[in-house]
Amino acid sequence: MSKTATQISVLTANRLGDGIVVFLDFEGAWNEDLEQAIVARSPDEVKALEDRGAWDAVHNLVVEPYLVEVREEGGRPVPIRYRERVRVAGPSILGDVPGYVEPAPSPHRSSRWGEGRGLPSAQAEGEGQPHTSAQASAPHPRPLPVKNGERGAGAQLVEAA
Amino acid sequence: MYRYDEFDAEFVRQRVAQFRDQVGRRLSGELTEDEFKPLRLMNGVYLQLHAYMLRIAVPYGTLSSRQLRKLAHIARVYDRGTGHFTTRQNLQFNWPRLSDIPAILDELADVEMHAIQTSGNCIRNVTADHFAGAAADEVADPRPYAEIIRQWSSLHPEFSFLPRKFKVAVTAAEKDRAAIQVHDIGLHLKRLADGRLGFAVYVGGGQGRTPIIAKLIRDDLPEEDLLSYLEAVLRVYNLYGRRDNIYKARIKILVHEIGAAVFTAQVEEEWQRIRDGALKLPAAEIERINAYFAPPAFERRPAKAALRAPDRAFDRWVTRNTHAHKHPGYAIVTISLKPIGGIPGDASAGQMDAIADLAQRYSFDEVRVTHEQNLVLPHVRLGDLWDVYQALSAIGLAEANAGLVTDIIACPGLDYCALANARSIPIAQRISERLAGRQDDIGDLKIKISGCINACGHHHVGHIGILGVEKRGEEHYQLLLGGSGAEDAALASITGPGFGPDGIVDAVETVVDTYLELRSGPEEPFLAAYGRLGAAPFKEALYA
Repeated sequence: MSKTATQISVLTANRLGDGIVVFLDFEGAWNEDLEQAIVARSPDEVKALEDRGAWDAVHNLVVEPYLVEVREEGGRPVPIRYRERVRVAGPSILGDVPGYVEPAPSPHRSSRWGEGRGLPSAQAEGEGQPHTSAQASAPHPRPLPVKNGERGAGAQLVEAA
Repeated sequence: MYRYDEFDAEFVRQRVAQFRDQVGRRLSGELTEDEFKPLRLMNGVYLQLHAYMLRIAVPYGTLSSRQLRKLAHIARVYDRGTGHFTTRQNLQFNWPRLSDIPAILDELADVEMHAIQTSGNCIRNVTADHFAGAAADEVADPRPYAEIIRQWSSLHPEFSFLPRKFKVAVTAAEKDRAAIQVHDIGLHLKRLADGRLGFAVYVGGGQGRTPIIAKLIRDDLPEEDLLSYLEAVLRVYNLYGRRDNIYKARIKILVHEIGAAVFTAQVEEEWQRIRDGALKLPAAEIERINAYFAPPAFERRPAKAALRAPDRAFDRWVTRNTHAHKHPGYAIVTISLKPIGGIPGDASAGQMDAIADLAQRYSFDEVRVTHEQNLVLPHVRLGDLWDVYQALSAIGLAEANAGLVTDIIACPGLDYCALANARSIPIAQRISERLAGRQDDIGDLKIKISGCINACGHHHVGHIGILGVEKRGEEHYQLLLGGSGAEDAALASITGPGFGPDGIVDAVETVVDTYLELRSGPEEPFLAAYGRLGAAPFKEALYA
């Protein structure tokens, strides 16, 4: 994980099977709803989130976990960086496009929000259940540390165009 | 167009099978992300801001109707109903599931397409003039040479792990529609002094955080020496290109640091060693590839068919969106993927299907993708233009704005890209809406927008360029003026302090208003006026 929050933070990642943005929630599951995210308010809690993200990445529940700094507005976490706000809200553009019609859901998937076919059973527990995809299936007795700067650093591969 | 032979087909199928196995092992946990990442990137799979993204190669921007229909099908079944055509003549899907991607690649293989070498530090998809094979001003169709380069560079064992990615562009016209001078290698196919075909070779151009215009290192390369010369260039780069600093690893930095003369000498030395070896292109092989690109069976038609109809909108469209064809009685049609307020480069599955139908019926089954994020029907009879126009109107793609101020290049930006610092598309949409009513009066003006310093939106070579940056956690935009990616290639200059998301649209309008006020007349386009006036009056208008 490359980011270390100094204030309050939430832990985010992309779900392995479909890449959708998820946040670690109160129940230890990976949830698409930021409002359900567990908030770290101390260095110890930040460390716990980091360890949990590293563990779930190693166990292939999620990809590239990292901390997002947030502030609380009306009791809800709101990312401080604009980038993270876009990441939470999704593309800002489609609703503005003249004549744009949201395409019908693909017959190949249950819904945008559920995990689908092709996943190992441990990861597919959340199938069809909103906000519970990529749920952790076991406790995490031995969190693995991840050094800062490791995110995306493999072999200097850059996901640029 | 080129058709796979047995070797091509088997090679692509094998690759799909390999990747299917790799995806399965990743999903089962057998492969870690660190192990899987280079494998997925080799197959065009990125992890972007919101989801995975699959980048599909469209070699030299040429598609058949069948291929375009397949892309529509993939958009409909595996994505969210839309594809995004990019500045590298490729197509990106923004929402595929990892588990679906092997199936997508299988579907692509059915129509002789793939996503190989659309990422990674290798020779990427070769781009070409999107009017190739049709343009009245070309000396020959450059696509056979692009195909030869594609075959040579696909899984080239020596060049699969270069210091950094490597992009080649080819044109065969004096008017550069392929932006060859901002590529790692730009090739200009032309007649040499002895009348034979050959190339001017430009090396070391590029954009990104260090924009550089390419250097002409050889002006008279015979066509049969194309591959040996490229091999020599790549070998010198592979040997001396930096691998210790990702930001200084492109060939443009090497050429800049050691100087074009030294670099050229190294290339020439290597070339002399290998030029008469296995890479010498036999005339028969060039002819064999050329045969795939033989002109379609054009009809003999009068040069001036009934072109205009009593319809002002159609007249505007013909004026802006058709281009001179090499064969009398035909025109090249640009299908603008820039409807006013739309997303530059996006096409819905329905639109792709409709365009495929038009290509099949009116353009000898061919479609082109442009680096300006439009599509092209390369061979349309003049007498069919009205029908094509009406069909495009029915799908919302008959905007008569090719080359105008609303024909904006915009990278995916922060709405999709994990690297972006700011959004590009909404800025393009708002500029488009703001200036649409005046675009005919404004005339030729290219706006190019990038959401980060990587410059996928070509902001360095925009007549007006916009670069999105992050400032204290919020979006911010720098404004650049005076660039060109054409034969008069030039890098744009930053005007001064940047603007917020709201201010940048006003700033662009201020620049346009200043141009309209100071131009010598409507016949003086923006870039010429900027060249004559310099930056001062624009800066004064922006910051006074």
